[in-house]
Formats: sequence, structure tokens, C-alpha cells
Amino acid sequence: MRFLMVVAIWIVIVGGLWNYISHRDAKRELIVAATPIDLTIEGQYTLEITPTFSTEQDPFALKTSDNTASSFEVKLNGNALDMNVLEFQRGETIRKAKVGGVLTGHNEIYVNASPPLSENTLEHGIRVKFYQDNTLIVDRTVWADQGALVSGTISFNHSQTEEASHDH
Amino acid sequence: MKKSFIYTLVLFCSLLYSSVIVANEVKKPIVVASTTQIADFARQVAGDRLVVKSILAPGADPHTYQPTPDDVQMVLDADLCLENGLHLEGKNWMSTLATDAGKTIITTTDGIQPLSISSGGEKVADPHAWFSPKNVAVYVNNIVKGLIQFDPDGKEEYEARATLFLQQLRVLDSWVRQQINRIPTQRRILVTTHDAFNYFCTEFKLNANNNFLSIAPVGWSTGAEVGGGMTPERRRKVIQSIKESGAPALFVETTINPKQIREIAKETGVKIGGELYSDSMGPEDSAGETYIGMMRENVILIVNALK
Repeated sequence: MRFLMVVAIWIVIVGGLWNYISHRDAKRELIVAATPIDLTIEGQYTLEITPTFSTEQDPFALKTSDNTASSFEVKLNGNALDMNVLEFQRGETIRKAKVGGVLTGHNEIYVNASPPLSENTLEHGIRVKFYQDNTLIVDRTVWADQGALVSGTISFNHSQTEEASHDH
Repeated sequence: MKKSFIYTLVLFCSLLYSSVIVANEVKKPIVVASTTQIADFARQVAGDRLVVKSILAPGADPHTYQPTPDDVQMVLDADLCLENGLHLEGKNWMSTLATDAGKTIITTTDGIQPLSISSGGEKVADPHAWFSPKNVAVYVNNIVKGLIQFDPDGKEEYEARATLFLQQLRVLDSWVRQQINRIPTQRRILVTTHDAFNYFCTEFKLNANNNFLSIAPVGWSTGAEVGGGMTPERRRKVIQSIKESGAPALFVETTINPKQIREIAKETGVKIGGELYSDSMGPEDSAGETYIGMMRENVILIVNALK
């Protein structure tokens, strides 16, 4: 009798615990993910990239099946920008007009490029200029030395009010 | 009543404890590599997602290694095997172990253009490809592809870790060039116990008087393969080369008995520059326990002895 009572109490406790855990997880699934608000700003944006080096294929690139080794990469807010060239040439400015995806508030331009390994004793950089219409809103340079990839993120804040003040 | 409550509590706690233990003991897949270097490359890619083991212990020689019953068991327990290939593993012991156990094996040097060494009229592909960081990038890419094929869910993780490691290799390559550049060109003479440093000499331009290849009394293998071991002819040529080139120092290797090179040092009057990591990395907690650490320590030793 006593043993049966122990088993019964045990079943009640473990069953209760199991019931609590399964319902707790079920409640979590009911939470609906918030829909991101579209903060994209309309306007004519232009990106200019000027490297101090000519890019070359990186022998240290990851070369998995769907990941072709590219010698440079440019992104705006995490979205890749097609710069319409295969390689960067030293000192040559590459312009990308009609850049979309600029957000109100925090924005990021990411650049990553492979300078020649033979120039590992030189410091290398990429100058990044970003225009709204004809107004320069970002002018920064990403540097690297000791043979590392020239890789960095340029952050800038951009707002509608700033946009308005630039118009005047 | 009180007693039954205690029984219940004890039963409940032990049940809860055992379920926690079972949950924590989720068995991770096992990857077994033949050498310490390959195990390090695999760990850099796999992180804690997989268990990576090496058959060779630090300091062991892959050319002459004889697998033990424990190694057979390790490969039987493995989900995936990795080897260097190019006959680094004497008599292909790693591929034999994997084939006998019915396990998939990846040859991590696939795609590398091996250096060809002439020895006794025979051409042999040099297996010590890891001495060029560019080649290590090929090893890493082969490991990433192999791990993705084995565990497609881990693709993003493997690629993220590999990207970081490849960038470290790129910086290492550049750093080695800068360090070697500190040695006057006429003093860039690297004499080691066995022919393991051909890729290093070719990549970083040492031993110009020997077509940028290793100078060593023992051939590419310490075993009995074609072009391996030490012959009186090789020994004579090395002594001649040391005298003619004015080598500032000779180097012993961690995986090989230093007796021969010490005798040559005595005979030629050239100092011993130190002990280099070659076919194996250093033991746990040593500076050479990782590939990058091993290369860094080797380069610092070489530069200090030769500059």
C-alpha cells in the first residue's frame, strides 16, 4: 500500500513537471515575431571606392562549392553591392550610382579586399566616399598592414532631417 | 507517511539527476587525424561541434610510426578520418587503418602541387606541404569540404571558423616573410636533420645555393622508402655544402634523434641553432602546440640563429 502511494505521488510530481515544461514551450511559440519597420530612405545615393592597391585572388580564401573566391566585397547594411568590376586597380576610383537600402539612423558600409601578398610590407587602404545627391556624407579610409586583408566597417548615422539640411 | 514522502523525494531527485546526465552526454561525432598538424587544422574548423583526435602524439615520427591496437580502436570509433597523404604516413598506415575499418578518409593535400625531390635518380613528391601557409589553406579547404559533406547542418559554422583561420594563415605568411627578411641573404642557409623544409625554403627563399631546397643529411623520410634515410653520400654532400656556404648554424628536429646532426656540427665546427618542430607539433601547453605557434617558434629560432 505504502509502495503504491509512493508511485502515485511520484507520477503526480513528474507528470506535473512534464505538463509544465511542455506547456511553457508551447506558449513561447505563440509569440508572434515583430514585423520590422521599413526605415529605408528614398534618395540618390552614390558610393565611391578608391583602393591604394590592385586586388588579386587571395590564396587564403575559403573555396567551398557555392562560395567562389572573390578578391573584394562591398556591402551596405549587410547587402552585397555589385560594383560592376572584376578587380580593383590601384588608385582607380570605382563609382556605384543609385545605391539603394540606406536606412534612417544607423548605417554600415563594409569593405573587404585582398591586396597582393608581395606588398605585405606596405600599409594598404580603401577610401570610401558616400554621397547623397552631390553632398558628401561619408569620407573614411579603411587601413590594414602586415599582409592582412583590408577589411572594415564604416558606420554612419543618417536621418531625414540631415537630408533636409543638406538640401539647403 | 513521512517515510513515504522521503522515498518519493529520493526517487524524484535521482530520476531528475539521471535525466540531466543523459542530456549532457550527447555523443559528438569523432574525427581522427593522422598527424598533430592535421588535427589542429580540423579543430580550427570543427570547434566544439566535433571531437578531433590525433593518432600521432606530439613528437612522434609519421614516417616510421607503427599503429597500435589502440589506434585501430580509435579509427573504428571514428566517423571520419583525415590523412596528409603523399606517403607522409609511412607505408600509408593511416589509409590502411581507415580502409580496414570501413571509414571515409580525406586526403588533405589533394590539390596541392607537390615539390618534386630528386633522390638517387628517383623523383619523389615531398609530403611536408604544411611548411607553406598557402598549402595549409588548401588543407583547410579540403577539411571544410569534407566536414560539410559529413555534417551539412554545420556548414555555416565550419565556414565561419575556416574564414578566421585562413586570415590568420595569411597574416602568418606575411609575418614569416618579414622575419626572414631580417636575415642577410648570404646567411639564409637552413640545415636540418631531414629533408622536411623544402616547402619552407622555397616559399621563404632560403638555401639559394641549393635551388631553395632543404639541406639535410637524412632524406625526405626517416624510414626506408626510396630517397629516405641517410647515406654516406648524402652525409658527405651536406658537410661539403655546410663548409662551402658558411652556414651559421645547424638545426635539430623534435621528432628525430639529434645524434647525426650533432656529429656533423662537431665535424664542421658549426653551432646548433636549436630544435625545430617539423613532422609533429609541440606537446600540450608548449608554444608549439598549434600550427601557428609551431611556425612562429621555428621562425624565431631560425632568425635568431642565422641573422
